[in-house]
Amino acid sequence: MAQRTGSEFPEILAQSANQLAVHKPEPAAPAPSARRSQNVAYLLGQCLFWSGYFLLNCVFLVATGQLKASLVWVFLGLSVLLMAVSHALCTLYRRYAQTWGLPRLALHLAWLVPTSAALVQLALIPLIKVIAALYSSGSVTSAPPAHQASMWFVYWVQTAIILALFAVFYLAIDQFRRRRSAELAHWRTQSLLHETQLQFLRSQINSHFLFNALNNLRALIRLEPELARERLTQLANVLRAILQSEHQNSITLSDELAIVRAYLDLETLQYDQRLQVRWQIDPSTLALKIPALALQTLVENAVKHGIACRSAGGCIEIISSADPTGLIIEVRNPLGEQAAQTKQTAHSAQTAMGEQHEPDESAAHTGHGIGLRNVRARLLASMGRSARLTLEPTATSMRATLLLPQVGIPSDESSKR
Amino acid sequence: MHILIVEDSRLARLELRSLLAELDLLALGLASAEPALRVDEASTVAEGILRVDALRPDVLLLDIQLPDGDGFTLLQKISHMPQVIFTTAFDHYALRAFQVNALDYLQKPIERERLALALKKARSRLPETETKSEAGEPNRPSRVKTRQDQIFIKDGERCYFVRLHEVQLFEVEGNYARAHFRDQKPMLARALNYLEQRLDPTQFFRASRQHLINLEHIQSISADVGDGLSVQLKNGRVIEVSRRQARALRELLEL
Repeated sequence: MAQRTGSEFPEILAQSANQLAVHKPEPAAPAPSARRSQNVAYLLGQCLFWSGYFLLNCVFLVATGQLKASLVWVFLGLSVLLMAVSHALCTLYRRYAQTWGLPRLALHLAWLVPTSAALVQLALIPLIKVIAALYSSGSVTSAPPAHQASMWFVYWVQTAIILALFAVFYLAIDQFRRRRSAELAHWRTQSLLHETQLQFLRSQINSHFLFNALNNLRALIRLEPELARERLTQLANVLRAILQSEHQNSITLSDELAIVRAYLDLETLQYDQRLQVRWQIDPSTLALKIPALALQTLVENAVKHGIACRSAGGCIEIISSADPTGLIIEVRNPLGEQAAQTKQTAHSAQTAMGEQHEPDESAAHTGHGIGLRNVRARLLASMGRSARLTLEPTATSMRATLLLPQVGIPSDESSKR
Repeated sequence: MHILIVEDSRLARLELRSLLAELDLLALGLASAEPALRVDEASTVAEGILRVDALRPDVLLLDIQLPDGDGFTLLQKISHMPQVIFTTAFDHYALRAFQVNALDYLQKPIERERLALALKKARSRLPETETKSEAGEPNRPSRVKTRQDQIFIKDGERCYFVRLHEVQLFEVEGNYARAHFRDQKPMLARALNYLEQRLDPTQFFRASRQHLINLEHIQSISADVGDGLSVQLKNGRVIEVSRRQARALRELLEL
């Protein structure tokens, strides 16, 4: 029973963390309905273009007084063949060439269009023969001039031109559509980012920390007024950093460390001797950039899971180092008895999902979830995919590592050059 | 009035102490005798359990988040149940769990007036009969509970404070027991045999292997086939009393 009660609060936290996770919209991948309407539009375009070509040919026949059933059939066959070929070209384009640049595309069109035009004309020869045979009772006099090599060449060029025209139309429309969907994707990302920021703010102001700090300050005012004034200023600084973090993408490590120190001083009021901190900061890393509050969130998690739930408290280690790839920040903390227990079950669930070194969902069981998700979102937003946060829990401790690639770090190698 | 503070932050304990010291307890009618106020402290759940059972305080000022568990764990493990006032920094979600609001809670930093009010409320709920059985009876740690005593029940997410006289019956369910009071019936992680030992035998009667009924809640009793009895409770439930227990019930109710 006691064990049950112990785990219930983290469960509530985990629930809310999961709710947050569910809200994350799926990136890109158009909905099936959108894809279907796209296909319909494409087919309609094909039909319109080629039936338009067919009608134009008929009009030409009327204008030149050559209107005959056999010729109408020939032109219909031509349009159908062209439609088939153009569809094949479009399919090829969509499968292989969507990412090609214009020169490469033009180069391939330069041989594909004449070749397909030739194919169409070749396929037309037997068709013309069949139609001619069917209408042989009528006027054979105006036998299709396809046998004459020069005429065939003219028809071939005509077909190539109309196919090229089609290609230009198709590519223009495709470009337009893609630009529009890119714009849509951009707006979607923007709103996602905004939402993440809101979540970040909401969860960052750790109300429990805030009210405990205020309560402790109230007691401290009576005991040590001078220290209380100092701590009050620190609280103001921490709050300001949290509120400003929305507008700041990255700050220097030394600025971040100032916030973390202030935060830890305030938590020492709460936990006294139970909270020990060991710093190991490489001075050369102080000027490097880190996403605002990234380290702070990790330290907050460390206090929550390594200090608050352990009667004996523990020691949090904060280590920074620089290597050629960038800035490495490590936060280590012992794990509470309850956390170590739930971790076991969480770990198996995590491997089942096929994720490695990212016990994100599982960590949500112990309340790790929201803050770390925010750190990840911010890493992605401000530093791209190369930045990384890894969690390595062991039976008794947790190690969180932030890997932040730096542009133009004054590393040893570059200074030697 | 004897108060036990269970709180892990040293400064928060100090703050509570000084708030209590500032209260004019006599004016508030909270104390009448000279050592008006006695305040003790504990900083963990384990220590809290020991001190509650050893010191038997009137009022518990209980923080919810403690290093080795939460306040609810403590409440489930103590055998003496004081009046409980929760103190919390920001745990509204935890307090929402309460179905029966037979307690008060204070948000830190605590206002002096709110504290005074909460203590006054707690005072009014203290059993009048107990004119302070000085510092408890440590040699009788698991005394029998009487009708005015409160018990704390936590069933899953829900918590209840209930006075024993409100409980209509306890019913066996698996290895545990289910309490029925008002329209609630939460589970207790206790065997019925254990409850029978802890409860006042003149109030709670073991009607059968499955049922422990509150005599105050009996509506009527009718004779059954053989020597058995049927007891109808005020809530409409009919409980059959086994033959052997029927005799005991008759003896209990006879003048």
